[in-house]
Amino acid sequence: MNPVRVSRPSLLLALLALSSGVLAESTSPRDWLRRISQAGQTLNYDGVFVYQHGDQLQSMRILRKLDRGKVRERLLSLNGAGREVVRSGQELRCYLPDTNSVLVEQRKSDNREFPNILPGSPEVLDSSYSFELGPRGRIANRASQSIVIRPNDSFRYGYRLWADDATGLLLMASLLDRKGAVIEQFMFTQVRIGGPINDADFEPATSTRGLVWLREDVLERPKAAGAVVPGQLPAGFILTARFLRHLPPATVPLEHMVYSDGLAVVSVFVQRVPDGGDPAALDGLVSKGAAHVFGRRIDGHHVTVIGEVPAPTVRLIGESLALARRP
Amino acid sequence: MNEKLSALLDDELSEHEREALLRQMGRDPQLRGTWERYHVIRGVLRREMGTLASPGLADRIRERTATESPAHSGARRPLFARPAFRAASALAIAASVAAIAILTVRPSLTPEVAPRTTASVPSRSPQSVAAASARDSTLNAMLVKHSEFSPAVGMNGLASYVRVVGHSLDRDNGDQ
Repeated sequence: MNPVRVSRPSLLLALLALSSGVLAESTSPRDWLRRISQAGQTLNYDGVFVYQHGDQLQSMRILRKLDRGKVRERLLSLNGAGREVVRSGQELRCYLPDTNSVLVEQRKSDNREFPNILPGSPEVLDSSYSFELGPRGRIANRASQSIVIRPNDSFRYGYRLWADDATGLLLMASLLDRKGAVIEQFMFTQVRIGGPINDADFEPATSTRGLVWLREDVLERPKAAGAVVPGQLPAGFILTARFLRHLPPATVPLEHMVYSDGLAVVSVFVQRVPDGGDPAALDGLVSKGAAHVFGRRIDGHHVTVIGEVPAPTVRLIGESLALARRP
Repeated sequence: MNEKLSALLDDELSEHEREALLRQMGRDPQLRGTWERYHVIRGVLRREMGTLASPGLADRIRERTATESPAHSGARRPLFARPAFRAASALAIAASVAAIAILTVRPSLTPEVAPRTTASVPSRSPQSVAAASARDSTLNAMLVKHSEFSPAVGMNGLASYVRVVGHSLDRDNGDQ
């Protein structure tokens, strides 16, 4: 009956080509960010990427699939000690063969998006960053579009993202300092998007023989206000989550507060310490990969601030922390 | 208890026993310390740390443990030949081995202001080494929790853990 017979795959390809062509021309940076966010949550993929920080270069494989509503993910380092992280639903296991341990965690959040654009309050993000489309290019042999995100002040970093035309999947991303120099970046070298992925591919390669299992017990949400609160936050940062957590192998729970400006995230950990303090606690500023970490003691508590933000940002938050005034 | 730890190391415990022992370990820092030392000893004996520890260290330990009497187990085999260390005498040398291993395997974080330097073994006391190691593992655990919320260079989901997985290279470059 049909005068023109079009096979399904070619029709699909034609539609994709059409939609990507339209998207590439008429889509705003914001629309691209939404596509990236959605693609990261809904697509199945299996790929190898390189991750670079400073003079370090790592190659990693990442797999992800949605299996009857349950997310399965696996990230494994193809270099060094062979650390890997396996997620099944809400349970996350970090296999650290070089420290003979497995960290088992229950994820506290789900459907985390990047960018975490708060619906209804885009002006918050707009006050902190400006967005524009960059050039088009090719990453992992796929046509892609770049998006440039510039910070409006020195409290946060910028980004250059490359998204897949056809699916919106993020194929390359660079974290940039104020001068535009790359702090860290990742890039897929090959990726298979969509299609089936075997369950066996989500099994850890690490032998668990002789490894110590450190499980995080599930804790209640904290009811009372925190003992320690920041007096000053850089513009745009708001409290987005607060939990009581266990830090294995320690037995004393600690409070975890998460602050975000929609893109950058800063964690504040507050732990009660006995008199005399904990000699192992961090005092001052260190860096760990692209993250800056600031630690200090406040009246029987030790606080640690961690974030992939410039050093002055974690220091500012850390130094402004003070005991909460009780009513 | 040391027997039990050895059995755990050799994966010879039942699921139930293992869980119970791990829970106990979670509460008892001393027990955890012993457990860590067992791993270090085993690693050194198996030359797993060959590139990290000073050359010949494993051999010196092997020689020394071979001549020491297996006081507590009553076994005739040299200690290093057993599946795991079960003699308390081994723990005596463990402290010094652990100190070297922790230094070389787990250099502490790079201070923001100071230039990156390699840790010097003689200048640091075992206490400061242990403190640095404890601090490092605490920060690592915090980084894992933080990663759940922080997208590494904009990557979604599990990719945020890229820093946790990749961080092993921060610690050592011996096995690239």
